[in-house]
Amino acid sequence: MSQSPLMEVKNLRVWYNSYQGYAKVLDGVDLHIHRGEKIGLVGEAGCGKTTTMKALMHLLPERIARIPTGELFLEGQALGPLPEKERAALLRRRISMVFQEPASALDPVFTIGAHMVDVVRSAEAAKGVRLSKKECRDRAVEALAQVLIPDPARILTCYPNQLSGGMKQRVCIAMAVMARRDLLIADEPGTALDVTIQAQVYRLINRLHEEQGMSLILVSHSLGVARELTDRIYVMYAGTIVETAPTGELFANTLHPYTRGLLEAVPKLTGQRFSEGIYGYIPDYHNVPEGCRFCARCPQATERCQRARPAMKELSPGHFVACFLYGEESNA
Amino acid sequence: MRDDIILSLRDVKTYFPVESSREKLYVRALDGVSLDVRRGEVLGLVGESGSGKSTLAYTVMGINRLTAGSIRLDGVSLDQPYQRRPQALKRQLQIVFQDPASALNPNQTIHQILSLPLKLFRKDLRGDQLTREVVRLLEMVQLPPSFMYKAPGSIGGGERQMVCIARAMACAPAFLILDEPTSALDVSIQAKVINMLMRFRREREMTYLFITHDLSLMRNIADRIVILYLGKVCEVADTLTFFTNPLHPYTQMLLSAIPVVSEEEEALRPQRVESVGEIPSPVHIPTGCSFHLRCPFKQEICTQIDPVEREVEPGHIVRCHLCDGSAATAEQ
Repeated sequence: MSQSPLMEVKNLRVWYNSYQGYAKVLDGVDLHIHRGEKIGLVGEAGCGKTTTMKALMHLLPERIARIPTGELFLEGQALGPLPEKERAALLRRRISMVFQEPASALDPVFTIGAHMVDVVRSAEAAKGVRLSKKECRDRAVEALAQVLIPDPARILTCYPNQLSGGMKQRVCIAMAVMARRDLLIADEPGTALDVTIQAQVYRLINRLHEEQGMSLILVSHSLGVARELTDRIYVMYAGTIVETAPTGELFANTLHPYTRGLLEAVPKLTGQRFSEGIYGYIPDYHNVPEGCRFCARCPQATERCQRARPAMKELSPGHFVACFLYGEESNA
Repeated sequence: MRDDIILSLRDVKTYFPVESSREKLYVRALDGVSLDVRRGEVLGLVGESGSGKSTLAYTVMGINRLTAGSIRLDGVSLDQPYQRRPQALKRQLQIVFQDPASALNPNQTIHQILSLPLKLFRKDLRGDQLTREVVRLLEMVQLPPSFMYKAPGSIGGGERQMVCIARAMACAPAFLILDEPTSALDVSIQAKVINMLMRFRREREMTYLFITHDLSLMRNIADRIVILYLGKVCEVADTLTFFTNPLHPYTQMLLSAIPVVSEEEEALRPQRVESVGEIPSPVHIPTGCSFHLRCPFKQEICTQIDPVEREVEPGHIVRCHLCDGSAATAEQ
C-alpha cells in the first residue's frame, strides 16, 4: 500500500453559482482508489455523488461551477499545475464513465456503430495509431460480444431507440471498456433498469473488472448494490464523506448515524421491520449548517455538533468515520 | 369467503393494436389475468417492466379500454371506461402514479391540485371550508399548511409524492392503486412514505393494490404477492409462502437478483437461478410457456403448451409445467 494510489482527490470543494448566491455543494471530499480496487460511493439523491465524479472527469459545467479548493493526483502526480487542456485530455485518456441513463448517453441520430467507431478511433489516435474503418468495426464487434450482446454485427447498424434499456446500458459499458482505460466510473449503472437486468449488468461489470484488471468507482444510492460489487465504500452525506470502510467491515460494524439510518430504512428480505426513515431532508446548500452537516437530522446530535465539523478518525484499520460520537474522549 | 373480495378480475385482456403493421398485430399487454383482491389486504403486484403491471392498474381505473373479460369492484361492474362510470364508483377507486413530477400540473398550486377532488366529490365545501380541508389533507401527510401556495416544481420529490397521496385520499376511497409510488425516491424517504401509507390503511381499513418491482419491500408490507410476466399471472401466494417456498422459476430468478445488505438476507435468496435474457416483446409472445426462453429448467413441453394455473397448496397458485407433475420436478 506504500505505492501511490491510482487516483486521489484531496479536500475537494465545489460551489455552484445560482441566483441565490453560491451553493456550497462539496465540502472537503477526500477520496482515493488503488489500482485494481473496486470502491463504492453511496448516499441519498442530491448529496453530491455525481458532482464528485464530474469533478474527477473534468465535466463540471464551467459557467456555474467553481472549485475553490481541491487537488487531484493521478498515480502520485499532481494535476493542478498542468494546463487545463492537458489535464482534461489526460483524465479522459485514463478514465471512462458509464452514466445512469443509457437512453440519454447515446445520441439518437447516430447508429451504435458510429458511436463505437468514434470511441475506438479517438482512443487509438491518442496513442498515435490510425485504424482503418474495418479495424474499428472489428474492434466494436469484439467489444459488443464481450458484453454478451447477441448478433453484434446487426446491433452496430441499429439506432439507440431500437434497443432495450438493458442493451443500451451494455453498449455504454462496451464503449467504456473498449478503450481499455485504467478506471471505470459507473454512475448508477443499473438504477434505470429492472432487477434482473441490473443483476446482469453488475455481473458483467464484475467480469470485466476481473478480466481487464481495471479499477472501478461505483456510484449508487443503494447500499445493497454497493455491498455486492465493491471492496470498499465511501458513504457521502451533503457533500461530505461521513464514513469509509472495507465493505464487510462497514456492514458488520456500522458507525456513523447516517449510515445506520440508511441501512435501517432499507426493506429487508428477512421481513424485519424497517425504520420510519431518516428525519428531515438534505440541507439547502445555499445555507449549510456550520457544524456537522448531518446534525439537523441526527438522532444523537449534541450541542457540539452544531458548532464544529467533526474530522475523519480512523477507528479500526481502514475504517474512518467523521462523527463526534467516536474517538478519543467520548467512546459511546 | 365470497364477500370479503373487494376487486375481482376475470380473464382480463387488454390489447393495443400495432398501427404500422400490415397484418393485424396486437400488443397483448394483459393476456387473460384472473385475480381477486381481498378486502383490507395489501396485494403486491410484481414483475419486470413490460410485464403489464401498469396496464393492469390503468385498465382497472378505466384509463385503458378493456378488450375482454370482466372487472368487478364490490360486485359492481367496472367494464365501462372511466368517463361512463358513475361518480360514486369513481370515488371508491383512486390511484397514485409512479412519477410524482409528471402526475402534478406544474402550473397549478398545491391548493388548486388538492381542491379539485374535493370540489368533485364533496360539493358542499365552499371557500374557507375548502381551504380548511386542503390544510387537513396536507397535515395528514405531514406537510405544513404553507405548502398549499407552492407549485409542484418548488418542492422535493418525496413531498410531491405526499401531495399525490393526499390528492388520492381526498375523497376517502376504499380501494387505492399504488403504481410504484416509491421507486423514484430514496430509501429514507421511501420508508417515510411507506410507513404513512400503512398507517392510513390501518386507520381507514383501505385495500391497496401495490405495484412494484421491489420484492424486499413487498416482504415487509404485502399480505399476498402476485407475479406477472408478459401479461399473465405466474405465481400467487401469501407473502410468507412466497418467500419460503417460491415455485415458479421466474419468481426464483427475481428473488435471486435482489441486492441485499446482510448475510441473513443472503441466506433467504434462492441461488440456483441466474438472471438471463430480457422480457420478449408482447407483440410476439413466445409459443408455449411465455417464460421458456429464459427458463433454466425448460422441458420439451414448455415450448409447445402454455401451462395452466394450478393451486399447489391452499392459496398458492403457480402456472408452470414443472410444478404440476406433467414434467420432471424442479428439484434436480
